[in-house]
Amino acid sequence: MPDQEADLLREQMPGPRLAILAESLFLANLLVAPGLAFVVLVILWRKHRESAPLVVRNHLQQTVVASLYGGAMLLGVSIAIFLLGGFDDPWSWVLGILYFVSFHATLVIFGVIGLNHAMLGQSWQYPFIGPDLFE
Amino acid sequence: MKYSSQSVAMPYFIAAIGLFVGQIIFGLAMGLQYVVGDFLFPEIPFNVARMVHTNLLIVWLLFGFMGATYFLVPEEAETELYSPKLALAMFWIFLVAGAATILGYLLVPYSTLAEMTGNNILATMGREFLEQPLLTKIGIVIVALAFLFNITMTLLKGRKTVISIVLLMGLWGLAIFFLFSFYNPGNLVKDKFYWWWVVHLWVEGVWELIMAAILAFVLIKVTGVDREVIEKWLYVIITLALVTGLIGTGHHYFWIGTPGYWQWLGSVFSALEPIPFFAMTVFAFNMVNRRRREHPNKAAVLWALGTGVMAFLGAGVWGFLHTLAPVNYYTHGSQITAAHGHMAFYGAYVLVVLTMISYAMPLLRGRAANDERAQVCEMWGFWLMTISMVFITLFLTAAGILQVWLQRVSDTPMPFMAVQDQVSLFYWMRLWAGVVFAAGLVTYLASFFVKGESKPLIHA
Repeated sequence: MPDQEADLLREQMPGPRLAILAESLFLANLLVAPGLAFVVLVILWRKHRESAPLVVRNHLQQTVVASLYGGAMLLGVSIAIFLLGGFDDPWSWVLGILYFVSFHATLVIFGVIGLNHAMLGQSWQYPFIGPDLFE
Repeated sequence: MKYSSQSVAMPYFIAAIGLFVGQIIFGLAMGLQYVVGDFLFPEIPFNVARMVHTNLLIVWLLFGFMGATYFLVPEEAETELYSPKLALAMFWIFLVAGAATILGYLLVPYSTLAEMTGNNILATMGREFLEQPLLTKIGIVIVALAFLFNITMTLLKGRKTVISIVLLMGLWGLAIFFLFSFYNPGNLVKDKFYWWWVVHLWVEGVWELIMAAILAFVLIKVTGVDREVIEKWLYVIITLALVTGLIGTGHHYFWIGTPGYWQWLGSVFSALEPIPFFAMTVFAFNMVNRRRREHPNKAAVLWALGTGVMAFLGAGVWGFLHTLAPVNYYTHGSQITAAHGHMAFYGAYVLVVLTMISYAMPLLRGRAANDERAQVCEMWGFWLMTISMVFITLFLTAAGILQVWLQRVSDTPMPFMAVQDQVSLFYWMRLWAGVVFAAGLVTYLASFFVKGESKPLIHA
């Protein structure tokens, strides 16, 4: 079997696997395994934050911080809307659901862009909530 | 343009855009009818305006798909179209039949139209989106068969690529599932069951194949990324689309008289339906990021990226929002459905057709790309339409949430029309967002007439 057929994943995603994994966990935390994916992401970050190549460190740092800030803003504001407005007020539901869906979708789109950069071996800073990149 | 027969795509694209304009005019009229109930009554009542709005959408998208196919297949197959004359003949038949049908809706009472067109011989009318008279439906089948014959013969004599085969599978599926529009059993449960075999299996099944193939074709052209890379993505996307979308039909079978297991099947599989759209977003960004050349047609790249993002938001996120059975128990048929429908159709199908038109039209006019000013104008059109569609969706979602609460959740539920009064603020906001959308469409149309220095042809 020729070499290029042996590793289709590598061919499609030439970027570092740890960076791709970090961005995938960021998305998984938002989409399929909230909390659990974040715990794994933090473990990876703690383990590799000083030893990994620059691009990988950037992705680990960005995804952990973006998960923390993004998650806090997503849940914090949503909970605040319901606590301030009350569960019996329909406007709490209108605002709460609209805010949650819109902000969540925005984070997912950011995650997709981050994942693409990781797949191509490039660093990427999350807008507004991402820390400065390591140079 | 590599093959002269690709030029038959031009009239299809022009007709598609013309009918798109008609769709938006009727959309605006309906938007106004939501808040000024007797606007245009009795000349164009709401139910007629809605029928024209949705039917025009379907017809112009079909024109767009056919035009895209006539442009794409000769280039992929590396041969001239089997019969350009047949393609042009079918264009005129489809256009005349479509126009006559719309005029029929507008000029004759629907029941009279049914009597005039043989609905008593085989009753197929009166169902949402499939309101077309029997004669029109037969016309659509004839046009579709001739179209598929033309395309299949072209493909058989030329190169077979993954893109053209996926496209052809989607188009054959489109034609085959349309045949269920002729099956109209007296039992209402069976009627709805098979009605979705046209409606759902089109938009959440075979149309996704068509969309993915068109997007893949344009991305190959504008990014220069290896065909092999894009084909692998295409395999993954269509597999995900079919695995999730086919049984995902079950999300339409909740509490309509079908067995209870559909609540589980429908919920689980349709919860997975965002995945192919998610993959398409990753795919579009990935291909553009790893591009090997800067294509002069920047507007086409923007439309392609927009397709990925907006399809994911509209079909994926807004679809998931109300797809689980316990949620759908409350939200079914509310304005949340309308919000999802608007953004999903715009993101997935309107944008992919406009992507193809943006890429192909300059080539059909003898240049690689339009002048910078024309492209800037086109991109303004994109942003105005896309941002206003986001707002239309948000306002309809807000209206839907409030509607569900007041009408279905509250301890003292209000009647339907009383609730419509309560949510009218959002209808006004939606109307103004619709006006901005129309302005975006006018800007987009204007881009075709901006003159300037065009980019010379390059060969991919």
